Amino acid sequence: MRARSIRRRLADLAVHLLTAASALAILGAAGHILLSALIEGLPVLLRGASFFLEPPGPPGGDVGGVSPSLAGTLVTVAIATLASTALGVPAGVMLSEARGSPLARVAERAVELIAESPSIVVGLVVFTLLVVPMRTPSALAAAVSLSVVALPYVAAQVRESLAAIPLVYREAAFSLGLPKWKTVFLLLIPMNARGVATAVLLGSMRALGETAPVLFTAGAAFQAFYGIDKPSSTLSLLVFFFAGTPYENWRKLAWGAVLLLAMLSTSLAFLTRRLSSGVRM
Amino acid sequence: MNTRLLIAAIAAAALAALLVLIFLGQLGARELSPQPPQTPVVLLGSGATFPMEQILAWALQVKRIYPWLVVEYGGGGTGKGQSDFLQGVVDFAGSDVPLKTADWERAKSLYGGVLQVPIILGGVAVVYNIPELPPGYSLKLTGEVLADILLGKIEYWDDPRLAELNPGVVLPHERIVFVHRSDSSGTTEVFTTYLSKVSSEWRSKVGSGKTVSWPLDALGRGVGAQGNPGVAQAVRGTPYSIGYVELAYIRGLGVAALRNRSGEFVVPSRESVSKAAEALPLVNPLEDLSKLNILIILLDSEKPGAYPIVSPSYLLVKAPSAYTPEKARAMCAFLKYVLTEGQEEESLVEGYAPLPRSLRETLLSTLEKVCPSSSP
Amino acid sequence: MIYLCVASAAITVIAIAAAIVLTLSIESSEILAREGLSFVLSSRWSPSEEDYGFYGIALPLVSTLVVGALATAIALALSVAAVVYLHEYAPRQIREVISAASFAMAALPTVVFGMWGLSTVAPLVREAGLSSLCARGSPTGQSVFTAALVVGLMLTPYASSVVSAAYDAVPFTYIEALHSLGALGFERARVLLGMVKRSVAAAALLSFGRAVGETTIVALTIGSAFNLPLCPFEPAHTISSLIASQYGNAFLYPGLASALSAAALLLLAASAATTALGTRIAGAVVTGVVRHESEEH
Repeated sequence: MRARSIRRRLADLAVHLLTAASALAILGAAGHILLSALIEGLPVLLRGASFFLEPPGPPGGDVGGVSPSLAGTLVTVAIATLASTALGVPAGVMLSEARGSPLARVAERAVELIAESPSIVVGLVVFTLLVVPMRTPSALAAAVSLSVVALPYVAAQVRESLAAIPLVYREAAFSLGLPKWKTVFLLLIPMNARGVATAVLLGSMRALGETAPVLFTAGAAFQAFYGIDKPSSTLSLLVFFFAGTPYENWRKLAWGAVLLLAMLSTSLAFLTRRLSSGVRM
Repeated sequence: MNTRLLIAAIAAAALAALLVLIFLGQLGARELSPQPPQTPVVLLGSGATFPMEQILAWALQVKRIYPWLVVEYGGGGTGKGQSDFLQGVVDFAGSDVPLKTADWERAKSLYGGVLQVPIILGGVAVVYNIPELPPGYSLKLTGEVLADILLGKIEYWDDPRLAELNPGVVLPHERIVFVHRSDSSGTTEVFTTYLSKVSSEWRSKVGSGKTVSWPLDALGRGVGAQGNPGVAQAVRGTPYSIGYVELAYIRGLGVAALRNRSGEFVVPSRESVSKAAEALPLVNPLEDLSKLNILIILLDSEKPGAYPIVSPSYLLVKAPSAYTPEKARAMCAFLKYVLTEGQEEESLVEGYAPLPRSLRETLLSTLEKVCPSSSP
Repeated sequence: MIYLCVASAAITVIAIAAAIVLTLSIESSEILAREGLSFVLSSRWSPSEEDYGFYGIALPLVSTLVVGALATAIALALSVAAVVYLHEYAPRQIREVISAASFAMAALPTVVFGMWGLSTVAPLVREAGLSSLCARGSPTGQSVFTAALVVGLMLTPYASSVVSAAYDAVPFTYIEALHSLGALGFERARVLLGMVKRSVAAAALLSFGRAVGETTIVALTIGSAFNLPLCPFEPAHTISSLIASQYGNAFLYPGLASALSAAALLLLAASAATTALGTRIAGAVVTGVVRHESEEH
């Protein structure tokens, strides 16, 4: 019996170490990614205002900055957030409150399909439907692409958070004479402002993080921001294109952009976490 | 209450985003036109990375003269440039080779005319990364040996045929790894046309084109990289690799001296490129240039001191009537600059050679005829 | 009135989904009509500027599945192990730290992972000599393995949130019972994992669906070669990296745009099928899992 006990404890120790190693590996990888971004990117960011206000320098020349791509990212993410919220919140409401109705059932499948679409496929479709007729890639097309990618997440989040509200509240409202849909907007959404806010932030996060949808739709204009209906670029595109070039200054910019993106997304993530877990933090 | 605070935070963020949008709109406009009057005209181009460094340099130079003229060039390879041009999503394209006849006809009918304007001359350098070689030494290669390396017949750097050409150095016993283009590339077409010219085996087995089936891929010794910059970076990072890039991209890499048809081993440079380009015929940009076989004329030159792999690079431009008046003016202004001051020593990026003077004059006179008369 | 608002949003969403499927189908029809099944079965890829050329997607298709499977295996192994560690062994503070790190990782844009893969992992693979283990090993370190490793890491927070949520959902009575029986950590884990088997399977399928669709990371780390990767350290092309690198010049080659659209359609079908399956198994709709990403676990 003692032998069995020792064997069990050894097995337990082995599993303990193995799983700890695995957790450590994940932590290590995440840490290394963030550390690399910091080590390579911080010196670039610390160059100060020029990084945020100037365009990239010529290949092999001055470092310059990421101003136009930053503008592109901010604009496309802002539009994408607005659009995916404007569409996603009502859609999420439909999915939650009208669950079972034919419209909601089809919409449910549609949301799933969009969520399952690889983001490059979305980019391809938006290219065909928007860029070619417009005869130019544009920040708008990029924003549309990103909105489509973010949409399912917003809708699902709204649906889930509304579904989490116990039935009693709705029943109470109905018994007081409030019509069904008014209930939603006067009662349920305000009750669940936090869930909706989380949805909006999730939409932003998704839009911020994607490169593939903007690959064919944004254009490659790195020297200035020309307007919504003109060719543009984003921080993620800058990284994608500059990372593999032999120009030291461009690679530095890519790392700076990487760090900036990491900082933006991490802050959004923690804000989301704050919102959704409330006092449990 | 907490919820209200959150809603307020979101609203504030939305407002901030809106303000950013407005602010950036102003910033963009301010940045581009330091003098109030003219709104900026943006010419968007994509295509060959062969001339990319030069085009980007010209874009900066021309902005100093015409602050309202903005040229954005996205690269992406000749194939992308031609594709974008035919789809109408760019204003002009960079292309190392002329449009094929069918595409040329298509462009002509789409835009009422198309101009293929040679803008610069460049050479395709064979670059390599062999740590053991002394810096400054240029590996001597012949066209046949190069073709045989890429066909897979010469596997190691210390192969007797390579040693024979380079008696003064000790080559390592390492397998040769080849970096080629993963995108549809005019540089590839120039390079493979040269290989087809000097090796009949290459011509029958592989041929030439913007994309080809590289024999070394099947043997596991070939990798693809995106654009001339990508190939340069890949060769730099991969010991014992060999690749082909336009002359401007050779920084930090070993460059081979290729034997030309008069028997000399020539290193690519502005002079050796210009020597070969003396054979360049006077072209009419309004014609179907694919019929002229310009490459065949320039490659494997037998002029003394000429580099064997040389090519012009072209800008594909719509007939000025196909643009809005402002863009037509801008396009003409840019082309005129490129063909005049842009060919001067101070304007040229290292790794490119100017067009012969006679060709410039021919091109300029054509431009005079087709461009709107109110050009700056 | 409000109903109108909500309903029209739903209709718009349906229209978007329909647009995606319709556009792809219309664009692909040309090549599918010409080549039929050999589009999927043939490994010959010969673009032609003059005529239609021939496009067979077999090699990238296989590589897509290989990368997906490998990345999922990596993500699953790491996630399950991490979840077990967090729930059975880790002290509270470490649990918080790892939880926070995992969440930060989940938020990182894929291009950040891609950049890291290109600058750190690929050279590591090359220098560790792993490439020489394969007959046609990648000389630059960009390979199926490199791509799968980075994609797997990217998926780990997602997979672990699914498994963790299920683990958490096990009624406390079972846990109480296990403790009272004197079960050690790994024994508890064994029982509990058995109870959440379905979620683990769901996590696997959902991760696979996402791995298959991943573009940015793969494009930067896979080496862009038309190859059948019998050995993981060889470079290859997945459907997504193929589309990313070839779509730009698609219009120059008469059949290429159609071929890439058909490939995209295939990708969508594969991703949809595996995700739908994973959803059914998990019993919760796929995007609802997102809730777990944002909750403490």
